[in-house]
Amino acid sequence: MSDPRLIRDLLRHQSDFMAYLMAMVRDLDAAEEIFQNAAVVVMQYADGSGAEPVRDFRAWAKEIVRRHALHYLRVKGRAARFAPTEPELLEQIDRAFDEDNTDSVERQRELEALKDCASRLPETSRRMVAMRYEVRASFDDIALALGRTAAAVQRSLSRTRRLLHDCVQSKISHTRGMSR
Amino acid sequence: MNLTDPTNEQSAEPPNRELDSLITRHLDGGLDAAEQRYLAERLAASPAARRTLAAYLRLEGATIRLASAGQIAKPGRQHDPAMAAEAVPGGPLMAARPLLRRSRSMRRAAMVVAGGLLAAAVVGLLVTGLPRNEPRREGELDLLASRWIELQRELQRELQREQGGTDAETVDAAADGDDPASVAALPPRWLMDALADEDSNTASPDAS
Repeated sequence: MSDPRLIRDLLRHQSDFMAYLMAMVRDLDAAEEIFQNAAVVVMQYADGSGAEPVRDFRAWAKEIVRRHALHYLRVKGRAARFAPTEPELLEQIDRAFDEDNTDSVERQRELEALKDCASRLPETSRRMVAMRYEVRASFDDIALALGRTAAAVQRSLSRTRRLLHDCVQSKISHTRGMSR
Repeated sequence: MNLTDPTNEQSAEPPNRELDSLITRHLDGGLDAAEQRYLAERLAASPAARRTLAAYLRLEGATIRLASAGQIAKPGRQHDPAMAAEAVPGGPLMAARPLLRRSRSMRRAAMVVAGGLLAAAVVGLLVTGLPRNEPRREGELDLLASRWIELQRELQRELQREQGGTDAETVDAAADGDDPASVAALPPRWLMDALADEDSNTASPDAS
């Protein structure tokens, strides 16, 4: 008998794991490929009759995701688009992920805040983010489209992340203050 | 909130922004090995630094969710892939991905269809279980996709309830697909890919 709870939990944490993978491999397509492979393992486990119940899904599934990511980095690391992530940094990314106990309500608030913040981005910045995440264009392609250098696009995207982070945190803090 | 144009070049980072800069540059693949090790040291030494990294990871996850719903290029509106794809070299190929995503009205229609399929899918899956060794047998991915859609809807309803809204209208709107929070209502791309693979396998003549 399959266990739909595991699949539901996988859905609940999908973007969580995708972000974790992005921090490890910094390539959205690669992150999705790794997540797909890990998802197959979770679904096979969900289908396993008599399997041990999973007590902490996030930690359990994260370990599956992490192992697949490390395998990917070992096998395709040299051919990856970016320089390999240093082992010390991988360890700290893992630690930060494990320590983050933000609940689903808070995450939903952050998503809503991000929607608003993204809508307020200057047109060029929003186009860059859209091209990067929706079209999955490379820095080179974005640069060509916008008449900039790839390095300038990379820097602009990094700054846009910081702006969005500040904006989201500011809105969340404001919401917390209002609810007190 | 002050969202100024981040595309304006600024040479100097304020000292208190160094950690943020390291994290965002890492996420964009901009750190060399030495800088990565330095970032790791900062993270190892400070729980607050790790919380900051975690916040950026949540932001990354939320951005991926919005992007998968086409809500970055045109926030709050029906997704127009042409906007994000315009002027991108290799446009048709690059633009093909967002085109796979359905418009909101189509998604709503898919929800209605999925509702009909759900009963058969759930009953079928509960009786037979998911395939263990051959998860991509013909037709089973369709059931999985339907089930995925339904679970997404259920998840959104749960989130609405957890938010304390319990507003019947809000919950109903989410169930109808009108809720903007139902951004992840489509199956993920890997499942779409698997379905496409299955379609191509089915379409090709079987030599055996």
